[in-house]
Amino acid sequence: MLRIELSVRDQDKYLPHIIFAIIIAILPHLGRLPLWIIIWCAAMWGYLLFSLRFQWPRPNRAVLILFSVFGIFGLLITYGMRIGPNAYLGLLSIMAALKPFEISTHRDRMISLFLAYFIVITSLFQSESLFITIYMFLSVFVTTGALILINDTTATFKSGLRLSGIIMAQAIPLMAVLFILFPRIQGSIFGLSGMPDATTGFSERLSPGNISRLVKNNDIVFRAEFEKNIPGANHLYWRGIVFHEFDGRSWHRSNRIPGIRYFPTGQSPVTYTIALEPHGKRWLFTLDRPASTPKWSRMYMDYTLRHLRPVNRKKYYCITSYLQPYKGRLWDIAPAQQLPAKGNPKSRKLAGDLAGNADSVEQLINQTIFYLKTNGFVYTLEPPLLNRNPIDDFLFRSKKGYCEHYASAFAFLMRAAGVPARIVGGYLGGEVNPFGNYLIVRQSDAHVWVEVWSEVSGWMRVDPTYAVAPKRITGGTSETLTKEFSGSLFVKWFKQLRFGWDAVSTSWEAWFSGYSYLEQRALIERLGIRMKSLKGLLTVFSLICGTIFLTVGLYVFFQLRAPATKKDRVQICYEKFCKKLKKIGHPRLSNQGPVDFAGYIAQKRPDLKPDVYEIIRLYVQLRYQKSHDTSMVKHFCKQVKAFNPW
Amino acid sequence: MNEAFEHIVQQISSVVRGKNAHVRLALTCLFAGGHLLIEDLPGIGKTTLAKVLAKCLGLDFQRIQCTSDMLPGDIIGVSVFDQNTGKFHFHPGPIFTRVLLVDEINRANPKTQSALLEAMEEEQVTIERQTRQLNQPFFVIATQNPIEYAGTFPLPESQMDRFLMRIEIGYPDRKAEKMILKGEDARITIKNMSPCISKDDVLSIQEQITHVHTSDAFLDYLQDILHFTRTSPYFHVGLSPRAGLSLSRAARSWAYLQGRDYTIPEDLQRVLPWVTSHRLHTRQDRTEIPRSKLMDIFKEISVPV
Repeated sequence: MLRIELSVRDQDKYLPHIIFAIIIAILPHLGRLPLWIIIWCAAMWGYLLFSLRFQWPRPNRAVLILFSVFGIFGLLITYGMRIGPNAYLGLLSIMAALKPFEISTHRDRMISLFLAYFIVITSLFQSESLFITIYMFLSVFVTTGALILINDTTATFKSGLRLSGIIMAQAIPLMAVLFILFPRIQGSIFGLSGMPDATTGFSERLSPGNISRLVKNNDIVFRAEFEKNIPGANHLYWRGIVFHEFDGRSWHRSNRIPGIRYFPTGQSPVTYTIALEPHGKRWLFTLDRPASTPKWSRMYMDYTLRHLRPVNRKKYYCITSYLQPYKGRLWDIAPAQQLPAKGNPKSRKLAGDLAGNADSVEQLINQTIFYLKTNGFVYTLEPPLLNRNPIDDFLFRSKKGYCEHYASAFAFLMRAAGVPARIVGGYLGGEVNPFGNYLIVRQSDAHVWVEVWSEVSGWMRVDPTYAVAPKRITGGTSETLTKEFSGSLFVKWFKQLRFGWDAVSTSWEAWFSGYSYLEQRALIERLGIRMKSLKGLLTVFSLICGTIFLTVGLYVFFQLRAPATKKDRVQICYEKFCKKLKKIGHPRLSNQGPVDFAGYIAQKRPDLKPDVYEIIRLYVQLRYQKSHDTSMVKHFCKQVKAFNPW
Repeated sequence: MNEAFEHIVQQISSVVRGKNAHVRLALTCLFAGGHLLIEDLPGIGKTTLAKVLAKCLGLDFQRIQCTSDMLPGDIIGVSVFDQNTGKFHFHPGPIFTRVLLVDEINRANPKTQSALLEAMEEEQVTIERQTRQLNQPFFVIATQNPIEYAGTFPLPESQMDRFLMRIEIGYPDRKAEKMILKGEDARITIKNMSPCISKDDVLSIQEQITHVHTSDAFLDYLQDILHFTRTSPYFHVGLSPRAGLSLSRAARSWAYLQGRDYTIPEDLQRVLPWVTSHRLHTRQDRTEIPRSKLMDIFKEISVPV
């Protein structure tokens, strides 16, 4: 009876460690798991830990099976047929919560920990950011510590963690080799990619309130690193989507825009790399006006770029834009003239009046801007609701609005006056990170503006918001909207910290995620190996194997050579002393004891006798006598250091 | 060197001339509480050495000349019926002494040999169900003739182990021999000699030697030696743990004679060939290894730094 009890206690001894490792592994996923799974895990593990403490009964096999069925049922309800990484993760979590209940043998413990490793790996589905990478190291560290603990009965949790740290440090060179040389798969791991929340960002429809919702969102949309200087604020119009169709209330993107045939040209080219965060849509952001297309994307006649697939992973692309474009080639401007037959009569009348007074498109634009400037329009993030004729309502009643109101009204007026116009959605400006000298563009930088067609100069960018809130263009949203909230030292310091971290993690991500199949091939081909030929593949393969064998071989060699016990300071100093004497031609024989050696030296070099005798006396005292203190060790080492046989 | 010992060594050397090193070894062996086996020809001075040792240390001395017809009772003693009292009366044998010279131990029959060796190990004898303690200190010097083997019973290896050291005295050198020839009769010298220390001093020194410090570094070296003999291709069988203890004891005694209360590797090196030579045999034909060869072999073992 006693034996059984002991064995039960023994088998539960490691449960807390295993659960701890799994919790550490699962922690970064908390945000992605539905609440019920989190509660499920907490309840299971909580019960288990309490049952250890208070000897509560454990559920038997039938109950566990029932639980699993419930769990899978719950998953089906939550995820339905949307089998993706989140569903996988949910399944893993549910099973990881149940697995510790049936731990009774060593094998079960091993499986549970391997489960933890598997969960660690799934972190990569979510992100490859620096933070996650560091966290994964921590997680592997803890899990390996637990693995050592359950396999080495003499280990304590602390010693297990220490060994785990050593193992990880030893694995780093191997990891680097595999990272650089292991053949890369084109595409994402297992064909799975994170499905980001597609609730933020632009949609294909622009209606009042769309943008102001974005402005409150501080998420990063992309980072842009320029080859040379960052252009002035008035050029930082990041073009994303063009709205051509107006239905009387909201604007839509047109599906009938053909692909571009001739890339735009102009003056002031700038080249820059954009690291676009996944947004689940297809458009790519570029500075006005892009002149090239990155891989896997296509440019349309309205100078927008669209990716071939929705951007579900971080996307890096390099692009060149002309800040001062020449007049583009004419394309059917009909979509930019379309207006609904009815609605907004007052605005139509106003457009007619303005057009009557203007001789040219430029004049019309100026008059319209002037109109917006002088009639008491207010720039606000919380405009009142508009009625069925939103343009009329805005222009003649509320006079309060955000960039989309102004752009929308302006484009309507232009079209009503017979001038082709369209609305461009994107981002304006961005925050310069002083540490990396790149721009961070956030959702709060969202902006829309208008492009107007004139026979003389082609498509011109007009920003009607500028007429009302010039600061919005020159200073960014936050300056216009918040009254410069106190620049206390702490805020400054925090800002600096945020910029610094952003710079580090951005370059990490660019390096880590950016090292893809192509980069690898380029690197290997630079070494003179052609990846495409069979011979090249074999060379790479043997290179990898060779490196691994060499590493392991060297490690084993040094392990076998290294003395079994670590030398202490006295031994090191004594060896130094012997080395000094060896240099003057009197080496210590391996079987010579210290006193004999001293006698030998005294005989060969009588001049050294006092020094040598003193050192040997100290050495013998330290090594062979009963007690000594650390000050003596210091004294001994000092003597050896001072000893000069030359 | 401990001055008191220097004096003892001087005094003994005045009789046993030119054998300074052997005198030291014999003293080391005695103070370590071990027994000494001398393998040598007759007339070399074994008896003289034993006698002078006993005299110098203030110990009483007995001598047994072994023969093949000797019985254990001849050594241990016998109970004799006393007709006057009508009781058995125990007559202690020569073993009830402090320094015992057993001449030509290999001539005694195995029964007698083992009775003697058992008494050496246990330091007590049991006669007629009565246990009697031997005197303290008790020191046996046994001799063997290495040349004449006819009619002998060589000591088995297990019994050789009972002796802490085995030494060969050898002929004195020319100068020493001249002194012997010139000098007066050793017997007279010994007779006139006064003891340097008493038997109680000897006991207290033996006690102090057990407290000589052996550091980890020293024990590492000792263990290296033991390990070497057990794994080396030279030896048939490696040194036993008892041999390890003997080595440690001998080294401590040697260190004490040098005036130290701790051991150093050199102590071990000094006693090593004398403590191990009768315990190790070659792997090929299981014969004993010449001492000079043995010393060369032990040079392979490095002293831990």
